[in-house]
Amino acid sequence: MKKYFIIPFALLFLVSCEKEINIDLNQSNPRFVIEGNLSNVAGESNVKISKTINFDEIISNPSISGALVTITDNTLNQIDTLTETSAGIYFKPGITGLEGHTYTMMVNIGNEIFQAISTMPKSVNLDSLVQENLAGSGTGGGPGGSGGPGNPGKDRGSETSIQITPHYTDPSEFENYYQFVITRNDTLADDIFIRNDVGFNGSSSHLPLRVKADKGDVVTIDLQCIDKSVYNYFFGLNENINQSSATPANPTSNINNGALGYFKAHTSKKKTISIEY
Amino acid sequence: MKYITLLFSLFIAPSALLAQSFTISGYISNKKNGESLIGAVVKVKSNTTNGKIGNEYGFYSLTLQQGNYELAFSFIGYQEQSVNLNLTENKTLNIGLEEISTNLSEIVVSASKVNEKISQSKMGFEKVNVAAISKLPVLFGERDILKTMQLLPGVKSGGDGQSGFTVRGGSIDQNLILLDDAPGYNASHLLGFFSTFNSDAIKDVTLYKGTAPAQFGGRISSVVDVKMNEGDNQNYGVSGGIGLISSKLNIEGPVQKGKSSFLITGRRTYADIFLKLTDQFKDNNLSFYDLNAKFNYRFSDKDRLFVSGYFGRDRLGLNNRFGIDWGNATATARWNHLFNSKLFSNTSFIYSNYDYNIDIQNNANPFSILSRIRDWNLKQEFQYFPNTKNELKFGYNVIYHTITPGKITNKESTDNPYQLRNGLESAIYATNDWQATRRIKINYGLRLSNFVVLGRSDYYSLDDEKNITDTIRQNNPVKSYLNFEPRFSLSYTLNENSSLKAAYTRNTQNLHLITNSVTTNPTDKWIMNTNIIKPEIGDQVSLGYFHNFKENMFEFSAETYYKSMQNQIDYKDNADERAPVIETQLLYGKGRAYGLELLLKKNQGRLTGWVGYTLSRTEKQIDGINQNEWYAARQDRTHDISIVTMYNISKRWNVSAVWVYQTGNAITFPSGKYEVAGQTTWLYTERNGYRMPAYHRLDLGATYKLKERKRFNSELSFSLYNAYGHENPYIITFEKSSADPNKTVAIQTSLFKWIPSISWNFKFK
Repeated sequence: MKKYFIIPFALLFLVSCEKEINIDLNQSNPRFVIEGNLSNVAGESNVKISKTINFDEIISNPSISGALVTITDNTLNQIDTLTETSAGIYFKPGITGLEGHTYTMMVNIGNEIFQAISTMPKSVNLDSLVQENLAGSGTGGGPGGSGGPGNPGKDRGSETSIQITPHYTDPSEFENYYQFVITRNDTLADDIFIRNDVGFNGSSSHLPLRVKADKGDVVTIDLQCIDKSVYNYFFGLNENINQSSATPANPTSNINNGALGYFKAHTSKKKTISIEY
Repeated sequence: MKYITLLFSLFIAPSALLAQSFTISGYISNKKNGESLIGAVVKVKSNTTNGKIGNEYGFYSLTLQQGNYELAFSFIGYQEQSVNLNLTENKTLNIGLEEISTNLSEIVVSASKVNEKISQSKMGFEKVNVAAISKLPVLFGERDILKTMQLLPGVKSGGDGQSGFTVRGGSIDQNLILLDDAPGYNASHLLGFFSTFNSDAIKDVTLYKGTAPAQFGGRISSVVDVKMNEGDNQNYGVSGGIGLISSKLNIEGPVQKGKSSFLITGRRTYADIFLKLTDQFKDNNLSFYDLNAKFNYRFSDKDRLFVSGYFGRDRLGLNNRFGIDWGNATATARWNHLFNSKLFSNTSFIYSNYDYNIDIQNNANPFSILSRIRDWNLKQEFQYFPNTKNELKFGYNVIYHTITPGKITNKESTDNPYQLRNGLESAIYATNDWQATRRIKINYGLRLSNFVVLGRSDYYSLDDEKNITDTIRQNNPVKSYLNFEPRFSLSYTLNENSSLKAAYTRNTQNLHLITNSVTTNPTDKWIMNTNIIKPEIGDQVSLGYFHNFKENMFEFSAETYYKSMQNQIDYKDNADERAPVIETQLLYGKGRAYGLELLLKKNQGRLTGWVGYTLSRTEKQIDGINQNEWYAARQDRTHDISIVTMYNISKRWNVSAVWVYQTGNAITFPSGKYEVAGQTTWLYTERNGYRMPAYHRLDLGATYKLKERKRFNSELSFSLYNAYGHENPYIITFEKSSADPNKTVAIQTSLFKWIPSISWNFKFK
């Protein structure tokens, strides 16, 4: 919304100008960033640990090795220990989450311990993907969602924006939170797409997602069911990346002890579509 | 009514009943056009303390013991008029003062030794002289009283493209902006580039920096009391101006000669018309128009009716896909009644409406969002002038507010009547201006305010994590808040040219603007008190020293203040501004503001103007923000300097210059970065821990009087906004460098470098 209001002035007076400036940003103490993903599909769960760097540093590979990582199924009281398979990536073959079970992730780095709890919701089926035939209009992610118009925080690619509608039916008996993880030709898309079912509880959803893609691309959409704290995290993360919040801050993590990142127990339903026009 | 008079007579002025005394009363107006003069002074010549100031309708009342007097009537820019009289009975004396023609003398001299600031008990107030500001440089050739006000110490503008201003560390919603008693909820056009006040229609502007007497209430930082012209009751006149992007026209004249008059003033921008002519931008639109109208009618010597209205609208459209329009509409009907020469009454009925409407056109699901705040307002005020030492005001005010928060209309929408929220705000007050001794003047008063959150709307219960736990839907009022607001100010006259003042005031506020902390725009949300949101309370103590020298040619003042604020509102971290229940995104705490304001003004001579400096601090402490530590409020600015100069070169040429410098707003910037979910994300360490770059700007202006004809005169005015082209930041964002995607850069967006403009203003008589 912020930038919307500049456009007419730029049009009218041709005077709005952008320039790169130097801002003396403070140095910050490095903090740990933990990304825990626990899927109900085998081979897709892992934990990635890295740290923050200063604003003016070039992004290299600040991964954290040598951590002790466990995931506990609280429902079955069963502990799995993950091992570091590459720098900062912790993995255990065959580990899968079960719907309705609650999990605790524990990460031990040096003498610091970080814990997070996440519950894997009931799975929702992704019925179909349809490409919409109206380029360049629409409302983006829809109510409660994201991935709306404009993304000033990032580089402005030259790709066209198309609309793909994931059709699915929201179960009425729970509050549901969704994340759509989109890959384009095997590359993770740049946007975060999340939704809840406020105002849509129990109904079929036909709201489109706006995706950057060109004709001939193969787009995969993974419909993930997530719990509320994970939804809130990604909501905040999206605002943070887009710099769209009135009050920018680190997204509220479900990990304790001051670590950044999240622990997400999620279901997964994937479908693939080829972009035709 | 007689009982009330009697009661106050007994209470306040027993001496007046004992001595044989009589009252002179009447109206003071401009002789040429009948416009009443607000704040004209009437004095007994032999006795300097027995002075009275005319009220906002030009009425004065002076009670003296039987005897012979020489009275002097004076007003700034007018010739003093003396009247000799033998007071043996109550007298009505209406006075018409003559303007000093500025064409006669090269150098503008004020008629009387005006040292209002020295003698009044009020402090923290400023009058903006509407005539004087016509010489200042202006953006797009449109002079603007609110913009001029922002050049005074303690008043800070939001910057380029920001509507609103802040006063003594308050936020932009803490200013009560009244146009003929009607509150305006958005005082700007074109996203802050123009104020909604067309200065052609304005007679008088008074600003109180949180120190307003008890007849004002409802906002904790300031009152801007704007009075419209009444219209010439002697002759018809047409005046206007043609500028680069807008034009205006003003028509006034008598209805009954010498008794009643009308005034209509309109403005419109026409950039949208030019846009239509271009191929590229023909589907875009950006425009505003506004209309002021006023009519007054004198029924009898004792009764006068004023009806005034304002209507203004802004439109913004992009590619026929996104459209937003917003505006205020107000209507005021006021009835002045004189019960007797000592008791003046005014009754006002006021309607006020502010709304904005957003239209989104897309093929699949077009919809619109309407937000509105609507008031019905009744004000009753009595002014009682028992004797020369006291001046009493008392009355009540009842406002019925209705807020429609973002009503969405589309193909499938259904009306939810519980979305509307209603509140009843009421107050009673009494205040007295008391000349305690020759040197000491005291104003004291009390305002009792009440706010009722009415039922038949949805309210919510929230848990500690701001999750909705329950919806409250009931017919009975949901909550009621009662507040006592004492007001006190004292002035001690050291000598003819200097005085010391002290004041304590408490103000409360029942309506709150929930605003984005980075930029302001017309879609910011107004919200009333609820079961969760409590009235804001502001307590301010201030001290001031006032000194005039060289026969009032120079005016110096130094004021300090400390303000503590309760129930302050801010967004929680990562707030969702679009959340349907906004209370889930808000946190509450306290605020404090303190500062020093220095002002040196030169009122006379070829060179006039002022230098203002403010040193200040504004902080908030809200649990859940910044680890519960005090943090700088967005509007916190350490230094604020403004230099305003006007120079009269010749009969025809006037030049002016304005320079402003302000410390940048407090803002939240990242202190580091990291990768999560495959994306670069910013690491934040504290709220508002950084500063925008300092804002500074020089504006230049010149006016040239064209040859005067018998019934027609005109002038050209030129201005250059931001003369040295400093790129002041509007927003700053952080993004991947286009040269090297692994690097991150800060990008500053500025609205414009410099804007030249020219306009032609004319007047037919």
